[in-house]
Amino acid sequence: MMSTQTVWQDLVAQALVGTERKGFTAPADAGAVTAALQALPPTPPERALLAWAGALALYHRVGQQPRPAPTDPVAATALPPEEWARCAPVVTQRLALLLRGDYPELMPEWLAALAQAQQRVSEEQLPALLDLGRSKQELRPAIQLVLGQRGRWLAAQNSAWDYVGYAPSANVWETGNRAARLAYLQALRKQDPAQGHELVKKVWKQEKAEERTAFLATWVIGLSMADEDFLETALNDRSTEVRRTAADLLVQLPAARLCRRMENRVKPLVSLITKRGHPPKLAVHLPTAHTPDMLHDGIREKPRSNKGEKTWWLRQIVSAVPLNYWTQTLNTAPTTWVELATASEWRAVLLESWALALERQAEVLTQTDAALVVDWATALLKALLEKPETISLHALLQLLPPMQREVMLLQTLRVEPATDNNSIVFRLLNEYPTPWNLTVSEAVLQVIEHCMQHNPNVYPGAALVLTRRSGYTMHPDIYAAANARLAGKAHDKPYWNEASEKLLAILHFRNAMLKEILG
Amino acid sequence: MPPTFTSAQILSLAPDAAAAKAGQGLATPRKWQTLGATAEALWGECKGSAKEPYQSKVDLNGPAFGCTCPSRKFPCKHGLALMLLYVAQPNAFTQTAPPVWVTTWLENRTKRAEKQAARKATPKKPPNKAAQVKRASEREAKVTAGIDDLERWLHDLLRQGLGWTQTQPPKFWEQTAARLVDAQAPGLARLVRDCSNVPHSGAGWQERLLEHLSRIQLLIDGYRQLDLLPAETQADIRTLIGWTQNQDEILAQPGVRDHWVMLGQRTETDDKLKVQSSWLWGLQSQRAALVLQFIVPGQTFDTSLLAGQVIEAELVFFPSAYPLRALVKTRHAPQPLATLAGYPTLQAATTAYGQALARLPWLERFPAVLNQVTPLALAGAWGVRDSAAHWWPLSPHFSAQWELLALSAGQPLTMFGEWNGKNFLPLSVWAEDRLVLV
Repeated sequence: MMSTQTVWQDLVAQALVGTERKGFTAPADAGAVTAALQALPPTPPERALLAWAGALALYHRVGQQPRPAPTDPVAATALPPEEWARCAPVVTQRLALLLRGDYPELMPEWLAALAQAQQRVSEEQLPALLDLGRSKQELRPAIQLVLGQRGRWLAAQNSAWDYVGYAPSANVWETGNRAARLAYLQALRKQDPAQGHELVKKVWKQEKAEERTAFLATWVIGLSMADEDFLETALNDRSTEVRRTAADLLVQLPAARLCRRMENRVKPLVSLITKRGHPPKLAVHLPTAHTPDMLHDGIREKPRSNKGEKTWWLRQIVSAVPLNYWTQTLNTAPTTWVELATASEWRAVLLESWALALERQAEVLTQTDAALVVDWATALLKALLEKPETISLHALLQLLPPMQREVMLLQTLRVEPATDNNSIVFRLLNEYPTPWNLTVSEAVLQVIEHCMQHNPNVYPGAALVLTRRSGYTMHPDIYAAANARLAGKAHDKPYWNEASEKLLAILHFRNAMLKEILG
Repeated sequence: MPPTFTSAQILSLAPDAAAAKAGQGLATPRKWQTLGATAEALWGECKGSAKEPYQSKVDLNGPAFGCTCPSRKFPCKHGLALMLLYVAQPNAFTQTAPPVWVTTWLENRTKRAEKQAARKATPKKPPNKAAQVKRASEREAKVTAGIDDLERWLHDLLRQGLGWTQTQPPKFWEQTAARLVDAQAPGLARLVRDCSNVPHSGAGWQERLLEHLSRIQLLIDGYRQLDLLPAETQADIRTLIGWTQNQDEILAQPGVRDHWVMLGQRTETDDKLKVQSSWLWGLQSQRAALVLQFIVPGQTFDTSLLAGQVIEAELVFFPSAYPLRALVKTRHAPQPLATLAGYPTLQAATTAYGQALARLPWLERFPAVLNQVTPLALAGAWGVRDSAAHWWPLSPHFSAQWELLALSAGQPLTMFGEWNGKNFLPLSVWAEDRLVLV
């Protein structure tokens, strides 16, 4: 008996050729269904062919059996139980909006809130979120927190998502490329700086200059006096880049020998003249020459722009001197130094140098003398708020304790009018560390209201920039108050209209999304 | 209280993608000179290319749209923008008292609705029997002629040989389909149109095309011998060719009472018409029902059937040898779904498919609840595997494989979907006490 499959193939072949030339030859033997098929009318040949084909195709379909699975899968182990609860359906909907493209810049805040509430993402959204982490590297740590056991398992099934749970093995150090080795070293320094230190020392002799520079630069993570010895010897390295990197790191360690040498250099250059009965005065002298020992300690000879050469050397020296030199050795408080500098012609040079020194030394100095850091930051900020220089306020503000910082801000807002684009208020708010709490948000809301009412035609306007940006930086709970006071008030003011609408829209979204998560 | 809409629902009202995009672009207060809202309506004035701003209004009961812009699309981008804006920034709608051009429009709408209701309430004039019979026989004649035409074309094609179809443009199939539409046989037209992609569908196209064409021949043969066939098969053949049935007559019949759960939905567009297919599963009767909704641009789907909800309802099935399509006659308040059960193995499901085909050979989509199958990618292809190590491949039209895997975590779960004899299209998954549409 012929199999019906063979008969079917015969029919297909005949249909391909067409009945014009060869007519239709009904197969004589069609297996089990021969009798039924032969009962079909044989003419016209086209109809007969189609009738045979239809009947046979249906016969095959009705009788089909499911295929066996192509291979046997690896036995799936049961996942460990989930530690966190799945988020509520409204939260899932909100994530769908964020993924679709509504305010994607709010994703970090949303992810952080979800992690804080110890909730995990709904299973059916895991692929979309994992894909997001694939393209946006900066979101990866936050995403990994809210994946749950299910998400981590899923990521392991797809090589596109292998960034999850990536733990570099020690092999990478031996055999990987520069980027991989660097990443490994950075992770190691974070975990155990001493080990990172030893690892670099071990390979130091055999690595090229580029590698030595890059590896040494990782020591900025977890920098401490334990690294000082090696860095001091690195100042004599063959490569310029390595020497510079070593010097850049040593200026961050106030107790380093390099900093001591800087102290000795600065002694004749910046000093106090104290005459009995008179208030102290500042004496500043520029260095006369650029000596080899200055070069050795990382002081570069040529300035970047057309600043004066000698002033440039002075700046580098002052910004490398440990901050406790000024207070301890010369027994003068930071505020006094700042006032003296302000009274002299060297205000810009000195304030900028001291601010740079503070930025570099703050992390290490805070561990031993936190009060000194705060004193310097306060003194510099007070001076800069009265008359700014080319210094970032943001770094200084971060060094103040939050309460003190807030008091300084509120005071400034009360006193300074926000009338024109150059007002210090806008600069301060632009650089004030985010996110803002309710008190700060309320104060900023008042500033915005005031500007809107009294300064309607300012464009592009620092005030408008502030308004647009505030949607992201204000505390979301301020939404109700902001809505009540700003909505619809800017009808006739074209640019304000758009800015305030945007502010309210963003605040509304953030407020809603956080309420949904945190309940 | 008029229903509230989500942005997704509003965008689904758009007649095409261009209108949707333009609507989203206009959904910002800056583009509107005035904006107002009450509980029943939205309105606004938007500057366009004309001298006067366009006046756009939305009646939230409906919803219904009106606009003075010259666009012929319905709803136009202004109406869509008003609705989207209202969802995102309700505060921007500062006017509370509707202007004259809004109140007049709303009044006219109410008057028209009242007139329509009055017309419906008055007893219908008994239909002119003679005219009905004449129309019916005219249609029969047209269809018969159309079918004769079709058979001639079909046999011509077989004489030439199927190989020739690979060189034919889509117009080749479109023309025949258009003639069938003219002959009032739209169902047959669709079957012809479905053939147009097959010659270019890759390996095995010859077999697939032959099977498609043979099914058309089977339908033609069935129509010619209609009187010899059982009543349900007659109903199937007429439906397949394109006759519709009077829904009021169907609803007058007794239905099947059961607890029905909505397990899957698909929305497809056919020309300007949008069709939403909702699958219901009877928990006691263990049978599927297909509820269809047809809408034209400007309307929105009735969203009262939500996935995973069980309604106690009476469904009336359209007569068929394998009844699937149904109408909801009565229904009660929804309750959550507690558990879901279906075919224990793929073998059982395949056997049931065979039995369904024996009753309705032209069945294209077989609904099935599969117990405890595991979604997997094996040897580079995705499919589901049951406890007996059998395998159904997943449809190439399915795009949510990773979501499926996330829900299963390598473990078996219960799934609902459509089997077409070659592959399976999952529509929903029952996992950890919740139903998720995929």
